Amino acid sequence: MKKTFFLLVLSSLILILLDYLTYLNFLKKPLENPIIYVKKTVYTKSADFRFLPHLLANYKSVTEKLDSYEENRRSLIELQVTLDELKNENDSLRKQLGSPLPPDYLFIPARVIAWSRYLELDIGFKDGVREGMAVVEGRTLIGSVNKAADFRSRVLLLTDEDIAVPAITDRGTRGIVSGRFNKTVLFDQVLQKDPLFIDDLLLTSGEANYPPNLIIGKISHIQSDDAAVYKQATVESEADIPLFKKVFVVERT
Amino acid sequence: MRQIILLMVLAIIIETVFLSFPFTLLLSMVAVMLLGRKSLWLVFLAGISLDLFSLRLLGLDSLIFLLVAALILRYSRKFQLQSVWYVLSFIFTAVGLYSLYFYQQFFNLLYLLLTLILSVSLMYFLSFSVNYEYTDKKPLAV
Repeated sequence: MKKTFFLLVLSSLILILLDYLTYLNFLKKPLENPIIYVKKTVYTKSADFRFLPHLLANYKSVTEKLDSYEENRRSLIELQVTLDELKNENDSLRKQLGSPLPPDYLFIPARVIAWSRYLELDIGFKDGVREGMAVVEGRTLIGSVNKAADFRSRVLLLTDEDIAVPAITDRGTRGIVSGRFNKTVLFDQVLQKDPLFIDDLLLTSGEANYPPNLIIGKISHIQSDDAAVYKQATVESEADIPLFKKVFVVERT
Repeated sequence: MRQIILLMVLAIIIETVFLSFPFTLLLSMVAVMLLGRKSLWLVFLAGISLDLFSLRLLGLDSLIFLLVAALILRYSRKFQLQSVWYVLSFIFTAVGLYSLYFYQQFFNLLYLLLTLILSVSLMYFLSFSVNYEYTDKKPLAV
């Protein structure tokens, strides 16, 4: 029986080595589609089930959010009218000045097929997804691709310790956004002298492969120690991950 | 055996689709405790499947599961003595370390409760359904 154990351990080690050297891709490729199918089906069918604990745990904040959404919706309709007018004016001015349109980003649509530590998408290397690409939902940054197989990719979320997003507040304070224990989002490496206040809006600064001005969230708590070089803040992320079904991978063209 | 395989498939799907909890590791440990050395292949295949589903390096989870199985088998006497605290503390340590490394999750009350309930109920219910033909442990002769 010891033989079996050592044989299996040896097989595991060989598999790890071969997979690390990408020699096993030809074997993994035919299995991708059935895995995607299973995950997509389970993820879609379990939407209500997944949302229930989230709803129960955050019932108060969800109802508060609903109220504020309703208020926002009303003001958005008003804003939409103003925006349309401004858009028309902007387009005509651009034409007049002959200035180029803002640099285009290619948005690759993707369906979410799983969400545990990472978010998993049903598009991969074959669809143009590369490691390091940003993933967004609307104007909200969700994370970045950290592994891309041929037909699947894995997204590192903002709550992950391994992510580092250069960010800037609406007051111009710079820092790095990273996660903590897969639960909270931190705005770190902020100089003590830089202004930072609760409710400051946090956006991507446009460095390190992330498009600029993507919304990360709002500062909700500040931890400042005068003796430390940097101060930290907790960020209330705008991304409501349990509800995501479709997201976009952003590629700079 | 069939029930364990079925539960293993379910655990892999749940773990990789929507719940960051090491169900597969937990089930593998229970399988090793109940089936003994005969479960090594099952644990190995569960690890490979989990790697495939979670886009990890192929063989990584199977290696971890096998090493955990080796520890359980090495100290099988202590596990056979039905010392609940010994078994539970081993499960908690393994699940905790695994979660911390792969899911960046520290133990919280919910985690502790889930581990406790799952491990106790799995060991209890599966011990009835395990077919002793598959195991190298003999049923008690009364």
